[in-house]
Amino acid sequence: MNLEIIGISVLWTFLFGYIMIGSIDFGASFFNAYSLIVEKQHILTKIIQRYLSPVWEVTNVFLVFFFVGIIGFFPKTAFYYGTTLLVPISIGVILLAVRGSYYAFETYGARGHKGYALLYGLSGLLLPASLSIVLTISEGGFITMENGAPVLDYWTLFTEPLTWAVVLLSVTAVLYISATFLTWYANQAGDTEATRLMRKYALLWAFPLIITAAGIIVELRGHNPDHYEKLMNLWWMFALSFILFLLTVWFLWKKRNYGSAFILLVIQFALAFFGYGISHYPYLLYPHLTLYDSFTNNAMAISLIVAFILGFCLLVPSLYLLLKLFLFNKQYVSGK
Amino acid sequence: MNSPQGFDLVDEKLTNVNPLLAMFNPAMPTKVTHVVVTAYMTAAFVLASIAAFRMLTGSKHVYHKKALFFTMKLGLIFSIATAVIGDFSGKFLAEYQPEKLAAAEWHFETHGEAPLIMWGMLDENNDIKYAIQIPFALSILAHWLPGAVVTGLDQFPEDEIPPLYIHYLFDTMVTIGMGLVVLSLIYWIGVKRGWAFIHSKFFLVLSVLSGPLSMLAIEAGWWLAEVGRQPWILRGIMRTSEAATTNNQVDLMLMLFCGLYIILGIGTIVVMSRMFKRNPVEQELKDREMEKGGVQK
Repeated sequence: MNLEIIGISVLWTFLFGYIMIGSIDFGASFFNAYSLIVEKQHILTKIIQRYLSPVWEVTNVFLVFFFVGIIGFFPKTAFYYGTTLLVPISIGVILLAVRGSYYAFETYGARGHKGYALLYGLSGLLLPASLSIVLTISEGGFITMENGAPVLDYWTLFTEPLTWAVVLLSVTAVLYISATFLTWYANQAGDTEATRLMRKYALLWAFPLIITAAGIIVELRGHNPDHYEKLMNLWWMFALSFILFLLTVWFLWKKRNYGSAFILLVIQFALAFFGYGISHYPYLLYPHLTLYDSFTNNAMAISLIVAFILGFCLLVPSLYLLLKLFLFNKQYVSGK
Repeated sequence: MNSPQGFDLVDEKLTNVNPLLAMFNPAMPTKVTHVVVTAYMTAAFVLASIAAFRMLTGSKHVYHKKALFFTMKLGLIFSIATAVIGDFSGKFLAEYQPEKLAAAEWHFETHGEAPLIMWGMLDENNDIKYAIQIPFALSILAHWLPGAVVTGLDQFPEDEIPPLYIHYLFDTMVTIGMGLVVLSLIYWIGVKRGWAFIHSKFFLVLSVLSGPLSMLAIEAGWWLAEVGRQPWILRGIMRTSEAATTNNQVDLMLMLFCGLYIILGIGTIVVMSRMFKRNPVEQELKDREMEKGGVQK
């Protein structure tokens, strides 16, 4: 195990953490907005708001860790991705700012502003879409070198089916993860009406999720055969992931073990996410950038790893405290 | 950025990297303390502004009087600390970034017994006009001694000299900083001696201005630090033009972010003013006393 692998594993784990917590957050905001449109807010708003407020800040910590880490460990990613992703990432940051301001304004005054809530819900769908573009770009074929500087070809990017497959997957995944979690959360709170509705959403999004996930594998075959082949070598991870998916859906269907259903879901996504990550090895950006030609020097790598471990030591207890205080505290959850 | 260290540059490649050495570079002690202390100073004066404003608009509540006294005292302490650390920053600059100090002071020729130049203008021949000159002060600021030689801009190639308008940024920062020391000192002595003058309308107006002015001073100082380093982004190693992105959409993104901040700024003002109008401090204090009374019974 060399430092490069340790570095990327730590980063990939942080990214996974962000994807899980972020998905719950994004999806919850979308369901919140949706319930406003279809006039079901009396069922959902309370449970969603109670979850959203305390978790929001923590979500971003994971993202910040990831960004700092990837530039620290692999400085050349700043050159390739930093130059080409200025527009998509800026849009992402603006959407994040919209979400942040929603929480602030919601807390300090403009409670229940409908337009803002809708905008906020919309940002929950646009954010995963704009961030997931990075994964598509990393497959190669969209960045060309002109006069020694990387340039992103937007036309090819937006006419490529793979792009839209990834966008669709990110959106369905967000809604599925979020709905499954909120089913459990509402059930914890003893809110039967909200549980029933969230369970319905979770089951509704399960099928599209698996279709879009399969769609990506098909698209990848045409776009990047090399990566596709490596992906197929790890078929057992994806097969296991699929079995866990079936189990989650089965639990949801049978209206029992919502907690286990969500934990299985996390493992399901972890398997798929890490399977994808491992098969991406050694490329950070096909075909320009690998782990090895972009790695930072040893001294920096070691101090980064130390800093990340210290960060973990701070983050894990605070996460535990947060979960204990807000998410699994029976009194808080049920609004007492 | 200002005094990079902790690595060696061999054939455009970084070697011998030492992150701790890089973090604890010569610029670090004065920069960090100056930024932290001025932040505390600004916070104190912003709160003093609010208290003075409420007193001006007619509130007689003792809360505001206490707040003004407390924050002015803090402002005094931190503005004096700012000035002291600012002096050390001058000595740091003279040692490690003499071109920044020279440009900020329009110090064109290297010589001793250098005066500190405040404000003024430059004519076509770079002669200084209408300026206030404080004899020996620049030499003292740079090297403790009135006779010390201060490096001038003549020691640097034309394309490594920062823009000369940073002089005004420096003057803005120093003038406001000194003004705030004087203001809070007068207030403090006034309270001790019972001067009626410090309760006058005029003095309250000055106190209201202290918050916005300290923000202006921080902004000027920030610009001085960053513009004064130009054309370098890493002094002596990398120029800003070499570090800039090649992406063409930077302007568009800048506009987008400006728009975002304008919207957020307006939103914040609306929400905050609504919040305080609905729940003024006086009302909250009254409610609290009521609550306390209730508990005691």
